Amino acid sequence: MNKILKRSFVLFFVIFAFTAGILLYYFSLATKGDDWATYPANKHIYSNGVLTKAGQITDRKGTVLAETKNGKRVYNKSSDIRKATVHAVGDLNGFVATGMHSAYLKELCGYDPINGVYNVSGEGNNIELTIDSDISVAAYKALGSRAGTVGIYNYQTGEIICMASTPTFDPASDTEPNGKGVYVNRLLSGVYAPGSIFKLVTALSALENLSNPTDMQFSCKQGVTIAGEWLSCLGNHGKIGLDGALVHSCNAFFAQTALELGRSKLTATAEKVGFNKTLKMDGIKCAESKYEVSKSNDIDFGWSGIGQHNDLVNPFQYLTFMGGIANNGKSITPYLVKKITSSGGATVKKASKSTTRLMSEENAEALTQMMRNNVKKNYGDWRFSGLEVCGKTGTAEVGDKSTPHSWFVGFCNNSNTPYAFVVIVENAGAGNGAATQIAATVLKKLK
Amino acid sequence: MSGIYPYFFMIARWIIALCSVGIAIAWTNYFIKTRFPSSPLAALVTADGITLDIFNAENIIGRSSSADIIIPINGVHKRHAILSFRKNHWILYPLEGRVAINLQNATRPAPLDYGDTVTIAGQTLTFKYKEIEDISSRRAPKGFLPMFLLTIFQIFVCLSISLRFIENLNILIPLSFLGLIIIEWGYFIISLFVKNAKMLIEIPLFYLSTLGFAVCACSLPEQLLKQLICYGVGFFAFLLLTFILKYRDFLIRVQRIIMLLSVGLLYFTAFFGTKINSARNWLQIGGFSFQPSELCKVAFVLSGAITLYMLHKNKVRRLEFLIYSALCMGALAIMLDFGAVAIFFIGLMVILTLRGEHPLILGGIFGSAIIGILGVIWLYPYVARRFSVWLYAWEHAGDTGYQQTRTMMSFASGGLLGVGGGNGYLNQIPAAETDLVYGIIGEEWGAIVALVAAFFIIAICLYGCRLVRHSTCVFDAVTVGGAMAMLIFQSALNIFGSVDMLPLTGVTLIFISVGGTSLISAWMMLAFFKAAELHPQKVEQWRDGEYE
Repeated sequence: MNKILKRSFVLFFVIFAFTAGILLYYFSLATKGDDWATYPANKHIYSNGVLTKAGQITDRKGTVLAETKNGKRVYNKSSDIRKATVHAVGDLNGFVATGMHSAYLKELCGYDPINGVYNVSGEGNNIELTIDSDISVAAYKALGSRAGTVGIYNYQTGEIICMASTPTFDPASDTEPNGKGVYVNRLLSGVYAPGSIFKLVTALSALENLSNPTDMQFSCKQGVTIAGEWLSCLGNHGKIGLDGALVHSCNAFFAQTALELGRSKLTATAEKVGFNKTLKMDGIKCAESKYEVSKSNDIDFGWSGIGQHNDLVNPFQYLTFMGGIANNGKSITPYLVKKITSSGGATVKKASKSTTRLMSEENAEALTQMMRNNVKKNYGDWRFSGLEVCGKTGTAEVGDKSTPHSWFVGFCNNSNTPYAFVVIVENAGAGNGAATQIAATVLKKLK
Repeated sequence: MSGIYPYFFMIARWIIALCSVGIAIAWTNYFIKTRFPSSPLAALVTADGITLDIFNAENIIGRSSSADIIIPINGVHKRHAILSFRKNHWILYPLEGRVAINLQNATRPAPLDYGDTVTIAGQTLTFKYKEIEDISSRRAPKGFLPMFLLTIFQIFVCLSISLRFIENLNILIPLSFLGLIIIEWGYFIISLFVKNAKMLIEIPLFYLSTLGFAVCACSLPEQLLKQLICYGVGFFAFLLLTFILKYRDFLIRVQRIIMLLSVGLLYFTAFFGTKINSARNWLQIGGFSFQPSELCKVAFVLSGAITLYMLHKNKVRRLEFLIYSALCMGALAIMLDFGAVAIFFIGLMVILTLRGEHPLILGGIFGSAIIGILGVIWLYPYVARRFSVWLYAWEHAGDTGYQQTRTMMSFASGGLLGVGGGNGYLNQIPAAETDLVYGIIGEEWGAIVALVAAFFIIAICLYGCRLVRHSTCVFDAVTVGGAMAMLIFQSALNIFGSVDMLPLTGVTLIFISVGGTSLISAWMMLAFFKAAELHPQKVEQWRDGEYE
């Protein structure tokens, strides 16, 4: 008998194994339950593969971008609006991973871990976006047949006003879209060589680290020799200081500034403004901007200071950087989801502002002045009349045979139009061409 | 779904979840505060006045440290003799050594009375009566609180379902819950007057039954009447078996008949049974169909315990039991009911471990089981397919992982509080009410209720462990241990199989799955627990003077 009692430990082992299994199952439920519940065979949410239990998606003015009607998921009537907003709204097949139909599927269906898919009305939640569908259409039209993205956000509130990405497709159409990368939201998921827009980082680092940055001068003879190798510049700028170098986008000046700063200081500044970090917009992961020079030789490091070498920029990261400069050094994280409401009208979730300090107020002010100067002296203030645009163009070389990418980044230094923006047009030539033109067209609509 | 129902359920789902948690907590409190008598039944006193207490109804006297009464002197064998209480007598069995009672050599089992002396290896011990520690004066909880919460829980589950189907209400639905509440309170009140009776297995059982009623009422309302009848039959079988289990000697006499009958029934089913859902494990007689393999679990546990009763390592009976086990599993394998094979196997392993079989024998049986599994996979491709999808259900969501993915999807759809009885979709999948029933609970009643259901399966087994550790005789230890292992393993196969943590085998979940035979079988398995719980009374009765 005594032996039997001693052997009864085997029973505890059986109970323990069962308990561990139950806990493991509940752990998977807690971590993966939302994916399980939104599986397209779920009849609580879908019927015959159609997302039926999902609420409306509207823009900031109440324009319905997508809704469920008579057991069907329908989009806005205008094909321009559909194409201009599809990367924000998403498609029903989940190809646009960053769209609301994928990334916010459980919120749209009213799923939450406590209630599951249950609610009293039996309907899903509505999502109000911060974007303006008309501005998005203007951006989509301005981009035209070229690939690129236009991102605009209010740097005082964080609301994204425009999120257009081309090439795009019509989510209401049954035909397979053609074109490479139509499902990619280039604002969030794109990464590009930055070209001269990176000079803003180098300039900021100089302001932060060098004792007398505004008096400092370097010479430019259509370029400069670094470690025995030639780094070319588009102009012969002679002796030039920080202000002038930014206006004329002098490669020689910024390459030498980078060398003066050193790898670690420039990397530190880059990381402070969002490089080498995965940023998130409403919980949706963005592609990462890269600045990695620890193993580069001097000439490559010089090139990295002017946005070439292996530098990569995610447009969304630059948008937050521009917002930071515009908002006295503090960047308000841009967001797309303004409000989620239940079908009964109760607020389920409201956007909350989160702020990150990217630089000091003085340095933000100094960069603002220099960027304003760029527009006044170089790009043409008349193109943005009344908006007081501060900006920087970029022409990013992408190999010998391809036309460079055209960048224009900046913001309006004006409390009536507090918008920061990023425009990139792939293979469209100089920054002070296509990108600036598109920015001017779209920004005018915001006046 | 109209009218008051959505608003009622909006509140009811919270009450149902909170009551469930409350019942679980109240049960735990009840469990912790309930005491078992732990005083010795009798004692052997040495010439030097050293008292050796006797706690069990079967005791090995010997030098071995695993003996119950240890006499560590030379000349005493490791397993010298057995002292056991049987047929209201203490009886001394000489085993490896010689013993004398009142200085008379005893070569055969002989009765021992209080005041008698026992001589072992020249040492004379006096057999003495021990006063019983009276534990009835201690304040023990009666279980009112969990019963009260259970009733509230049942009322809200019943109202939720009744209001959900109010437009076309099957009157059996409210009646069945009402009947359940009346039965459990009647049972509870009677139990208050039965010595040693506790509600520790009944509260979990009634909780799980309520969920079973709910699943049947919402998913298979046409089978509700049949389910209720089987519930009553199961309850009666539970009472009957609890009663019969007191008569061990009767059971020993009928053991061979039980074994023959159950094996015969299994083989009859294997060859002449009906195939439902890929396993030929149904027998149809008249309008009734039932699964003999469910009933054979009870026979199996009973037979396993009898072979070990009295600590006698009777080689013939042991061999009989091993052959019987092999025959049972063989029949189940012929039926292609591999889930049941696995359950019997776990039961066998636990019974053999409790018996103290040699590790080599256990290892050998385990090894042949693995060879058996490989053989089955090789012979039956459909089993292999279930194994191949195991852990990869989402990659096969359209075909072989269909049931598992739908279970997980539906379970998650319920959230913590559920979408309400009758509002789920998982029951549209064939056999969901039996094989995927844990998913139905999660979907309709929420993850909290499902967790409490799992907790109560664990609770029954924890109580089983406690019964084993406090049991005074081997029979109780083996029946409870074996039944417990089979119940929990079966629950594991059902729950984890349906959510892709084990291969899906299609076994039932005790008291929750819809199905008559499995319900009766679950009731009978718990009779082993109940009999062990009531058992100490027998010793006390005898001590109160009924002993002759």
